This record gives sequence, C-alpha cells and structure tokens, in this order.
Amino acid sequence: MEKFLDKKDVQVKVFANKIDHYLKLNIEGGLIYQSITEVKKEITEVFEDAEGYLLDLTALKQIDSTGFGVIVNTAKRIKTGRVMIIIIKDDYIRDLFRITKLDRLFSIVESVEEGLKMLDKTDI
Amino acid sequence: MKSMRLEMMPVSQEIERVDHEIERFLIDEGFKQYKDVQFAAHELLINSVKAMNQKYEDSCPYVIKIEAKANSEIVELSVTDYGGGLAEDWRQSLENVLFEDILMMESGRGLLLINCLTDFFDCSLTPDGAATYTIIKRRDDNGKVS
Repeated sequence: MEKFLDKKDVQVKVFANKIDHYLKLNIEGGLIYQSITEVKKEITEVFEDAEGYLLDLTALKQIDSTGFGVIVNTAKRIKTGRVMIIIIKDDYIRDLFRITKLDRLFSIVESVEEGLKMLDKTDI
Repeated sequence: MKSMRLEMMPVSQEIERVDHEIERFLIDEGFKQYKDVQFAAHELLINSVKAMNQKYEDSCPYVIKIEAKANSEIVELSVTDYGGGLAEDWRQSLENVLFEDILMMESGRGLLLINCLTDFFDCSLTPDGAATYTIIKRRDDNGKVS
C-alpha cells in the first residue's frame, strides 16, 4: 500500500545554489529532531546574502515540529524586505504548513519556476 | 484488538527505529490516516527523550515504553516516560495558544500539532512518577483538520 521510510530516506542533506541573484536552499531527507543540530550547522555554512530566497523542500521525506522551527529561524536571517518562497510537492507536508499557519508566513509553490516567477514579481 | 509494545532508550537515535515500527503497525492495520498518528507519536517521542535527558542527563535508569492498539474503530497509542510530565497548565495552554501566536517562534508547535492531528490527547501521572501520554485517532475521520 505504502512504501516504508528507509533509513536513507530520512538522512538529511543541505545544499545551496545561486540562481541569478537569488539563493536556492535545498533540504532533502528528514528535517527532524535527530538531525536538527546538523541541519542548523549546515544552513549556517551555506547561507549567504541574496535578493530573494527559495527553500526547496521537494525532496523532503519527513518533517517535525523542530523542523518547522528551523525554517522559521532561517527566515529570520533574511534582511527586511526580502522574501523566502517555499517549494513543496508532498501533499501531507503542505497540509502541515497549512495547519501550523506557516503558509501565511511564506508563499508556498510547487516548482522552482513558479517560485522564481514570484520572486521576480516581488523584486524591488 | 491488535496491539504492539515497544521500548526504547531515551536517546534521539532510537526515535527513527520506533517511528518505523509504528508506521509499519499502522500500515499493517490498514489505517488510512496513519501519517497523522505517526506524526503525533514522533512528537511524543521527542518530548519524552528531551524530558528524560533533561531530568537524568546521561544516567537515565528508565526506558520509554510505547504501546499501540488498533481495532475496527480507533488506533490508540501511548508513550510512557519518567520525564516528569507536562506543565500543570498544559491543558489550558493547548486551548489558549494558537499557531498564529507562535508563528515566528522556533518551538512550541509540538503539543499543538499532536492535539490537532488526533481526536484525543491526554497526559496522566502515576504515583511512581511515570507520565503516560495517550493519543487516539478514529478511523472514520478523514484525517483533515480545519
């Protein structure tokens, strides 16, 4: 019926790449309590100033309350007036953003292209 | 009623193993909204590990006990630890605090999410100091919350 989560699915991977003047931050695997210290450290390492941010969670397999805390803290690093768009494909993770009302804090889209378009519109 | 009992050391590395066991149990039971229960159970495990580490640091003499039961109507899952239980006003906090109130905060979402994703959530203390957290999810619920 469903695929069980393998250990490798929830191993976390954090990396970033620049797309024009924006920074795309990717978190893959599990954004969960067990990996949270490592994730915070890796985000600090890859985070840099940009005119807009995409947080790509399309390869995220699992998130918990501590993971939401990390996302909120990442948003606090962003300079006033700049925005972070979150890319989510998984329906359940999207639902969790709705339940926690974090969809009011961040715009949530389903693809990088959609996110880039939104950032272009908000460019000053 | 089918049931499953597990024990884990109060260390974060154990959470993943128990997560998987609970997921397997719920899926084997054909529980459609298993993700809600699995999520809530994971949050309970985090709370237990944190509480017991805080209380006993590296010399915890207790394990965390997990019990899951399922029948044609409900899934009931309980987590028992010796971390001291919740703050006295936890029930009030759950009623009074909204996700909107903690939007920019790093923590505080765990109990609210457990409460939101399940049909019943309670914490009880026994005289020997054990705290048992119980969640129940009905099968006939469509798994969505408003």
